[in-house]
Order: sequence, then C-alpha cells, then structure tokens
Amino acid sequence: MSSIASHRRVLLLGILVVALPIVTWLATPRLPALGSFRDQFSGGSIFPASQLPFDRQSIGTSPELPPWISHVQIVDLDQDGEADILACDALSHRLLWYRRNVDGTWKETPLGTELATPAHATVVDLDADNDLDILVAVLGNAFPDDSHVGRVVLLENNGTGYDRHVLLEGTRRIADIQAGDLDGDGDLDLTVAEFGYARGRVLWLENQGPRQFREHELLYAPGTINVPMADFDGDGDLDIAANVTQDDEELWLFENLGKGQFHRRLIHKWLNFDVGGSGMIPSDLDGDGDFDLLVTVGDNLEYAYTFPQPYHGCFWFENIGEWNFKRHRLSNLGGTHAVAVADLDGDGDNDLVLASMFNEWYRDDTASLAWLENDGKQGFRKWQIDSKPTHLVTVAVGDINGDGHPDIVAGGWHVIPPYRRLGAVTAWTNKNGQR
Amino acid sequence: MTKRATTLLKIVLAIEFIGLGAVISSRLLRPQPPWPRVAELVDTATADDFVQLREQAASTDQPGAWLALGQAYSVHGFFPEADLCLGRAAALDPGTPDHWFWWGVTLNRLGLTRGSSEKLQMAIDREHPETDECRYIIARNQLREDRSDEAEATLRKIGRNHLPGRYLLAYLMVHTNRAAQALPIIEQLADKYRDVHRLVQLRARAWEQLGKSKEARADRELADRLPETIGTDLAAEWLGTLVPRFGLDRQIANANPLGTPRGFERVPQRLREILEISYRPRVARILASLDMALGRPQAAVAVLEELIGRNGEKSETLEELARAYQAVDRPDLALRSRQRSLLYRVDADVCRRAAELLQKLDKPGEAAMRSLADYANGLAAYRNNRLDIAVSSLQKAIEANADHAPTWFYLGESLRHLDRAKEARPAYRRCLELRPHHGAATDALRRLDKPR
Repeated sequence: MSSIASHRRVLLLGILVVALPIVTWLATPRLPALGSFRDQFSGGSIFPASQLPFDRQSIGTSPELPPWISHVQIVDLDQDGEADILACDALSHRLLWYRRNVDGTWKETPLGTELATPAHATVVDLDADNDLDILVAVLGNAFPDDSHVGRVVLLENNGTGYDRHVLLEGTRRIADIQAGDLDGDGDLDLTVAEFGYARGRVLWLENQGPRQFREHELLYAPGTINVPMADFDGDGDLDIAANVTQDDEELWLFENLGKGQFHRRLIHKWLNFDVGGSGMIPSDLDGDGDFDLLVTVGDNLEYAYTFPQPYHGCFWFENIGEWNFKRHRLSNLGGTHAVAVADLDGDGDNDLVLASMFNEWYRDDTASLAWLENDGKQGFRKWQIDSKPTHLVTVAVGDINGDGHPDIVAGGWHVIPPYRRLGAVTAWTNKNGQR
Repeated sequence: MTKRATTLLKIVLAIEFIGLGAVISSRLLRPQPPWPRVAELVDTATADDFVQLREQAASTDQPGAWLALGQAYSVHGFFPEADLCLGRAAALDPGTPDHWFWWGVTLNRLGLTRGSSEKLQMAIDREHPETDECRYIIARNQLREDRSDEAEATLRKIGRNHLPGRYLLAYLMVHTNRAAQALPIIEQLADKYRDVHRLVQLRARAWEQLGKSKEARADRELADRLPETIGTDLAAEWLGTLVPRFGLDRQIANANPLGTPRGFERVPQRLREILEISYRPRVARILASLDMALGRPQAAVAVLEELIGRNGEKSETLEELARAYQAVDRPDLALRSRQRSLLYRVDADVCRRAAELLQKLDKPGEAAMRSLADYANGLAAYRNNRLDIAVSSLQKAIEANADHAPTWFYLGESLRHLDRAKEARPAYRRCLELRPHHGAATDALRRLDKPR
C-alpha cells in the first residue's frame, strides 16, 4: 500500500517537474505587464497661476481652420480715441482691423487684401498728412523659400480707405519694416528685414520723396526677423538693431553716424545653432534712461514636431554704455516667440508678457502666455496667465477697454501639430484691482 | 529507491519553482508601454498603428518591438514616451547600435543633450554605420550646452567627406575669430562643392574678418547666385526618414501610384479615404493631379477649390487649379486663377500659360506677359549662376518691354558678373532712368565707374 503511494507520489512529482515548465512556457506570454517605467520626462514650462486676474476673450470669429496670425498690435488706427487691434492674417493674406463695439464685442474689417503672407504691419503717418498709413512686410511665402517673393507694401490712408503701393519688390521674403528719420532730413526712412531663407539682408530705405525709397544694404545675412530703431547711444539720432536668426544667430547694432552713414557692431552671437532666435524689441526695462534689448529664443520650425528646449526663453540685454550690453536670462518659457513690456500690476516698474509658440502642447497645462512680475530691481517672478490658445507667435500690450489697465492681445500661428486649443486673435483683459 | 527519486524530484521541483518564479515575476514586472492620449492627438489611422505597436511591445517585450514603438512615438512628437521605449530596447539588447542611436536622437529633441551625447557615443562604440552623423549630433549637443571647445574636438574626429561636419568645424573657427585657420578647410570644401552657397557665404565672413573687403563682397555676390545648400539639421533629417513607416503616412506612402501601377484607378479613392481621416494638403494635391491624369478635371477642380479654402491661396495651388479650369473648358476662370498665382510668385511657366490664355480670350497684355515670362526665366537663371542664359532671356524680355526696371537691373548684374562692364553700364543706367531710387543699381554703377 505504502509502496503504491510512494510510486504515485513519484509519478505526481514527475508530472509536476515536466508540466511546470510547459505551463509556464505557455502561460508566460499571456501574463500582463504590471511594471512601470521611471517617471516620464516633461520639458514643458508650467508656472504658478497668475495672481493678477485676466479674462480671456476671442476677438473676431472662432477659427474653423488652424489660424495663421503672424502679428498683432494695439493701435488707435482711426484716431477716434479708442484702441483698436490690427492683425496680420497669413492664411487669408490680409490685414484684419478690429474695433470694439459698445457691448465689448469686436467688429472685424479686412483692410489690405492680396498681401501674400503678411508678416508684420507698422502703423505710421508716412506721408505726414496727419492720418495713419500702414507699412506691410510681405513674406510672399510662409515656408522656406529663397526666391524673390517679398515686398514692402504701403497701404496709404486716403481718408476713406487705403491705396496700395509697392515700395520695394524683387526682394526675398520680408519679415519686418520699421519707420523713423534715419538721416535727419525730416522725413521718415525705413528699415527692412529681408529674411529670405538661406540668403537675406538688412536694408535701410532712404526716403527720397513721395513713395520713392532708395535701398541701402547694411548687412548680408539670412534670417533677420526684427529691425527696430532706437537711440541706443543717447546721441539724439536713431540707431538700428537687427536680430539675425538663420545660419547665424546674432544681434547687430548699426550706429547712426549721420548723413546716412552707419557703423555696424556685433553685440552678441550664439554659437548654439539650435537656439532659435524668435523676437527682439528695444525697451528701457530698468528705467535708467537708455534703451536695452529684450530678446526671445524658442523657434523650432525646422522640426515637423517640436519640443521646448531648456535654453528657450527671454533674455535682457542691458545697455551698459559704450555699445556694451550685458546679457541676463529672465525666463525659461519653452518655445518663447514674443515679448511685450508694460506695468501690468501698476506698481511702477516694467513687467513682461511672454508668448509661447512651442511649449509641450500634448499636455493641457503648459503655459502659452505668461507674465514676469518685476520686483523693481529686474528680478522677475513667473506667472502663468493661460495655457490656451497654443502656438502664440505675437503679443502686444495696451489698454483695449479703456479701464486704465494694460491688457494683452496675442495671435496664434498653428502651423505645426497638435491642432487643438486653436485661437486666432485673443485678448486677455487685465482685472487688476479685482484680486 | 522511491525515496531517493522523490527527494531528487523535490529538489528539481524546487529549482524549477525558483527559476520559473523568477521568469514569471520578471515577466509580470516588465513595464507597460507608455500610452499618450493618442485618440485626442493623432488621426485614427495613426492611433490604430500605435495600438498595434504598443500591444506588440507589451506582449513580446522584444527589443525590436520597443524600438518600433519608440520610433513611431518619436516621429509623431511623443518624445517623452519615445525616450522610455527606446531606453527599454537598449536595456533589453544593449549590443544593437541602432537602439542607442535612436535613443540619442530622441533625447536630442527632448533637450536632454548630455544623455543624447552619451547614447550616441554608445552607438559609436558599437560601430554604428553612421558614426560621423552621431558625432555631428554630439557636437551640436555640445554647442547647445555652450561647450564650443568640446564641440570643436568632436567635429575634428569627423571624416573629411562629411560636409555638414566639416562646414560646422569651419563655421566654429570663423565665428571664434580664427578665419585664417578656417580658410583652408573652406577652400577645400568649396573646391569640391562648387554650387553650395553656405560655403561661399562663410568664406565671405572669413575674408571680412581678415580685412579683405573686396574678396568678401565678391563672395557675398557669388553666394547669392549659388543654388545648393548644406543640410545641417541632421536630427530632423533622421527623424524625417522614419515618417513613411508609421500611421497615416505609411498609408499615404503605400497609396503612392508609382508603387501600385496596377491599382492606379483605385488610388484616388484611397487618397479620398485618407483625406477623410485627416486632411493633408500634400495628399489633396496628389489627388488633384491624379484626377487630372485620369481625365477627371471636374473632380480636380473640387479638390483644389477645397484645398484653397482650407489652406489658403498658394501660387502652386492656383496654377494647378488654372490647369483644371482649362481642362473643364473654363479659360476665363483659368486666367483669373493664373493671374492670382502671379500675385504670389512670378514664374516663367505660369506667365507663358497666362499669355496663351490672354491670346485665346482675345484680351490685352499678351506681349507684356510673355516679356514677364522671359524676365522670370532670366531671373531664375541668374539665381542659379547661369549667367549666359540669364543675359539672353533678359534681353528677350527687353525686346518686348523695355520699361521694366528689374529686367534692366538683372541684365546689368549678369553682364557685370560676366566681366562685360561696358555692356552692363547702359543696363544699369536704363534701370535708373526707370527707377531713379534703385539703390543696388546706383551702387553697382558707382563701383563700375570707380577707377581701379
């Protein structure tokens, strides 16, 4: 009896010895994966929610297609005492003028049409007839293109509408135009950023009479996106700055020597090919009486799918005299594309608003609009205003509702996925005093 | 005997328990593939592909499956998820250089440059076939970390035939004030790659630094006429090679009519299905051209009109639409579309076709349009440094229209660069008669008239 039991035990054990690996072999592929990876990396910028309240409002009709707003500004275009919004729409190839209705909604009026991909509009009384004209930087093509498709277009205010004149053609893509009296002869000259693609130039156009401008080359370099004018050396005339962002990533200044002569100075160079220069404005950030430069980096357009980079953000180039500028890094907002300056919280110093085109948009909580609160000594605290719409490429600050507080307007250029959280022109009204 | 057998079997069983337990627990503890919210973020075809790739990685836990999933994520911008997948592939099979290479490329996109360089170095150590490419991306990583000395050392290890690497090395030297040292490298490259504008542009910068303004100007002018470039965004290019392998892009690639000559008739239907899934301008353009090739111009008109409605007017789309209008016998609409195309870009072929339509519709402006076509042809030849062709085209344009200042200017430029200064002068002068404020013509004429 006991022998039979022993044999049975041996048999059972033998079966188990054989079966166990077989069962394991059969069952293993069906076993669920219960493990997990280390934490997933996130390079997106998220800041604490702004303590200063803002109300978001879409300006104009809601977009059905991914909008391509290349530039926005707040300006009293019809000089009726109320702020308007002027936007460049690179998808429909026209300017859009928004006037505020009594009920707080906005009326959209297309201004210039057949402006092949307008990149930037500058509002100025070019012909000194006491109304505002518009200079339009026409790219000709939103995508990389080295052919001669760019134009400098003037929309001349005739009192009832705008007459279109081409001031300069046969150029590569034009990204920016600014106006000022560069040669001291009392009329307005222009600076022009011929972005091009692999080839481009920085030009100044000498005003030689009604709608007659003679071009002068200041620099041969592709990828110039901004050519603002300011008196950087405090000698009473306008100098020119240029933000070069393609093969070279450089900031140039052109010192005005008078009589149409300029001396160029390289004030900063990034050896980081990928830095992605995206914007530059002159501003006396620290209020010391001279013009500094605020520079954003965050362009990523060479990639089909983008990702914010750790070096993206906003830099302050502090003017310390004698054409020397000290670089300060102010913020790390991923994909920063534009900056604007205003005293948002009304404490008497300059705060900054930053717009992001390339934050980590697959997440819902990453910042598309942020402001940097100045502690009065150019120390900045970051606050997130909003995470939508995404792909903000341009930002402006001004009082759009006449309540005395600076509001924010931004434009979305949704040229790279994901195509959600869309927005064309969006305003954030400043509710300071209600916090 | 039985007792001994029992004991032996018990020992074997115990060993099996331990061994198989380890197998089962490692199997259970394998990580679940990361899963972004694809349904919200990508089209359904790509999402389906992700589901399959994910299931494969989850069920097999094979390095190849993780590599494929990581690549698919990377191509669609899910870089954090790709990082995890490619890391798993490398952990499971550290001997395969491709795992490290793609992991390095993905970390480059995440901005994790140190990690990226480490992984690419692992790929080099495992004899990845694209060693120079790895080194180039490492150098770019080092530049992103403001370590230009290390970047230069890395670039010096790159083979002499790797154009982007050699260019970047020369660039670094010029932009760190060592133009004289950089010039031999630039000259060597410029000798080999004669049509590459970036090399000549860099040489101009070097001449400038050395105070040789005449040489710098000559090179800047030459750079303006050289058509070829150097692709320097290698991480983007490598990711681009993966695009047709996944999701909707694979379906588009598979629907390529060249790939399926027998199913040519069925391709438009397939492309329409793809457009239903996710609207892609490129696909719409292919569909329109197929509709035209298959003798269905009305369908092409519909596709192109929708494309313009969705994607805005583009010169190329307007010209394609003009051809479709012509095919449905609407020359009036074709002419309008072509004229709109010319608002965006002056193209010789578009001008020529517009001239034919003007003639057909008995409308004025045919000669001016043909002249514009010759101008556009001349300008294109000038931009490609084919100066003799430029001269003949521009002269032909002038025969029909002698009042177009840009034609005279580029004729002057072409003649000047051909060292025919005597003929160039009157061309510039005529340009200035027509446009007295033409700055470039003024400068060119002044330089020509300046005694040498």
